[in-house]
Amino acid sequence: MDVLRSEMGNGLSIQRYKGLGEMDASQLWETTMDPKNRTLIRVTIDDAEAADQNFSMLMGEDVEPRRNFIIENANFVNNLDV
Amino acid sequence: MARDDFMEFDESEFDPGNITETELTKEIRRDFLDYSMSVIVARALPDVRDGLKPVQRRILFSMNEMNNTPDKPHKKSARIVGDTMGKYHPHGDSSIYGALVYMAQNWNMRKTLVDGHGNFGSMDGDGAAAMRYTEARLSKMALEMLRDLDKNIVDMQPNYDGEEEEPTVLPSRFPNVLVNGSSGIAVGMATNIAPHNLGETIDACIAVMDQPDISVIELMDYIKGPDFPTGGYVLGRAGIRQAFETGKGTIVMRAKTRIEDMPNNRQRIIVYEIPYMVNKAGMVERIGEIMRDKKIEGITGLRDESNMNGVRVVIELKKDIQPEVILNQLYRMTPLQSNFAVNNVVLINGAPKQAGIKEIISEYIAFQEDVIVRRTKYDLEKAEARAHILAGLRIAVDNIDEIIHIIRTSRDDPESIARLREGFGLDEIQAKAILDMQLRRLNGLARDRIENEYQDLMVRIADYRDILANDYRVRELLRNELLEIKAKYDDPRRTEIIDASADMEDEDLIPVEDIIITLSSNGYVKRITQDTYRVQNRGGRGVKGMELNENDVIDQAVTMSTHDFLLVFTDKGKVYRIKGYNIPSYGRTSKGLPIVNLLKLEKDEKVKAFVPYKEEDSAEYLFFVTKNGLVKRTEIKEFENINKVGKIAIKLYEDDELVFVKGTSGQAEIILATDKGKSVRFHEDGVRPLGRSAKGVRGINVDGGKVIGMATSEEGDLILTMTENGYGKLSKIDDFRLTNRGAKGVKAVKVTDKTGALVCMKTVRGDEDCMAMTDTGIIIRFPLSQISVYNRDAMGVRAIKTDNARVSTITLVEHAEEEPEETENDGE
Repeated sequence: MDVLRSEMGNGLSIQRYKGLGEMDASQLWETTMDPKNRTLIRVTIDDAEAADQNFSMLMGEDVEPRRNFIIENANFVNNLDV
Repeated sequence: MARDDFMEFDESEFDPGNITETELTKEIRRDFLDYSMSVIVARALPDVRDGLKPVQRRILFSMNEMNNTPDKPHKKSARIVGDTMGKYHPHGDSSIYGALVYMAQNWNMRKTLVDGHGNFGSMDGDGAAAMRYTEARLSKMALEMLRDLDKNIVDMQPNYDGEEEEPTVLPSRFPNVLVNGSSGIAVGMATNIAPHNLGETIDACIAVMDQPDISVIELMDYIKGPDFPTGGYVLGRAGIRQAFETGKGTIVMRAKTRIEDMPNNRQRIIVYEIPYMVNKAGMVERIGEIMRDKKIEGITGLRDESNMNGVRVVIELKKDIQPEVILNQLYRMTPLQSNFAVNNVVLINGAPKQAGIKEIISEYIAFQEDVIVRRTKYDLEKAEARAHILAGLRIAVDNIDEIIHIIRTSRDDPESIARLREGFGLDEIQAKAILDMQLRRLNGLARDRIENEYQDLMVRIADYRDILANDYRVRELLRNELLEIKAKYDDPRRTEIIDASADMEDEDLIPVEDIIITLSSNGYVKRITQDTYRVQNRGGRGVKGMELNENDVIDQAVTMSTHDFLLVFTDKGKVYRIKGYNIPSYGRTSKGLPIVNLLKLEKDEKVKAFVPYKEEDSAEYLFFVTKNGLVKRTEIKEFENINKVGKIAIKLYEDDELVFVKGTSGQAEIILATDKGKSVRFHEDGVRPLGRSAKGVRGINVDGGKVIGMATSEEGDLILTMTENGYGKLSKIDDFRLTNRGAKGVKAVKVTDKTGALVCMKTVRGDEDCMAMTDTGIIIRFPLSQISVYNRDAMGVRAIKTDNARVSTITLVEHAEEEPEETENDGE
């Protein structure tokens, strides 16, 4: 950040996007649409059954397994929306 | 293809850019974890230290930054919401406004943190007016949440866009987490913390500070339980204790009510405090619902008369209805009694945890100690900095001539500073302060002021250092500051904690009373207390027992207790069961309630017999007699499970009716009599016990007549007979020859035109009181001791002046001693 700041001088401003609604069309193009810059994520399924079980665990009616999952993995969280 | 006109999608021209792959299961697990942990640590759960969720904390901080304090006018809610959203909370404006409104609602918060102006909703669940209409400012309590925030006593963090700073926690100088509670639903977990009394909570904090190993039970001497802003009762301490111990438990809350008298001997229930978190309008609606569905009987009116002075829900009752019984049913079926499911999940060091009350208090105390330490450090730094400057000024004042000389001979500030530093061993800050000094500081008074301030600072610095060096000083400060808040803001407990058990059977509320249950031939049933009837001497005209239509006569009358079951047998051979107290009580002169309202009788079905079925001391058998002289004996146990819908008690032939049913021990002798005055007597052994739905066997040959009387030897050893025209006599039971069942029998009474047909025959002991009822509704009570014993085939004496009425039935009650009364007809 400091490197950037020194290169570009005082005209620099930082914008953090909380949602796509904050972007102009050109900004949206630059950041998410332009094939040169964007990254598409291809979702694959290795094991349909395991995926199904996971969906049930995370979004099903039983609270207990969901709570256990959260507690067990709480330390691996890396993207908190505070 | 039809789509040829459109631009064809050429995959080779499509540049997908960078593609990475992710496995679905891994992705959703990771995403879900991000989502759930975000909700848990930064949305739905309160921090144990200040009891606030992020949105609440940001609103309060934002209002504080806006100087939206109690000493200034209210500000538009929309400004507060906008500021909070723009600076700290990048989420929905409606949820921010919702949180603001909640903090201003005094039925949700034990100590409101926001002072709202305008329509902030109601206990009926009405929402607040839109945020463009309402105004708000911080409450005085909220200032205690924010106090000394500028003294670096809590950690700050950058806001979402790095433009602003916000506190990670508020100083919370009172234990808000317990005083106001919290509720929220996260993912995989939720929280529900009850509100508590401010003074009690502070006392409990001090108790824990004094005695860190205090037990929860001991702690309950200080903090007795939740204290809901809506008042009401909490039932029992076991739930509180469990919730305090573990952080999870159920607390039973109940509305506060009182009974008011209304005209005409009616009463009404006034609900004036309701359980916490209960929507009052919903509660009233629910009461209306169960009234409409007839799940509750005895309420005639329901109104919500609540106004700005408080809650007042009026429930008007029918005459003679016991308010306690209605209340008990309301507790069971409506939110008048509700549970508060305590689930104290709080964030401790940023991680969710279910905590008991001691842990919450300990965490709070540790935080407050830290707050005091940090505040003291801040004060110390400030004091030292000031003392440092003052030290320089003192030197300057003492050497003012020299100083002036240096300044006058210096070319510019830097030179002055350098020379001052060199000349007097000052540092740059001190030297600058001297340069900034005003000339007026040189007069005598000002010099003293500098000196005094310096000395004062020295004392304070020593004190601050002492505080920082000694934990006990920190605790003492904390204690005094908490007590100060208590003295300033405490108010009396609103919720009363009582011992009553939560589930009381209606029966427990109903006094055990000896009652008479009567049934008229038109099917009106009622219960009356036994002593309603006065004893009159034989020949008296009697007290009018009931208002009856001309053609309605008393058909059945039994004595029992309010808590006994009454088995009700009908002419169709069916049986129903009902508790004595479920039969409504009426005054002596009212006719009662149609029995079809109590039992699900078929059309044309007529009640023929009442038999009390008691928990203890009950008969072994039931003995059935039909109009045509058939009899059946069945074990009473077979009638244990009879409900309002009824069951078959005896299977009947066509044209036959069940007319009598009595309980027997198995040793009884049965006497049956016909309207023609004939009777048989046989041992009940002669009738083999049969199942509940079986048909009967021949008991007496009615010879074209019908059975009108049945008696058992267990009721006494005298037989009382009474004819239509009021001729009665007693005869010894042994006068009635033992016969086989099914015989025509012997004469039970001499039936003549004067006596009229035999209408009643009963076994008696001879010391009871007889209550004879006529078809005009007159009841005459007289002691049997006034009637002599005659031969079986005698005519007897005129026991009652029947005038033109006919005796319809007689019933027996225990003899009651009473002053003979002169009034023959007291005109009721």
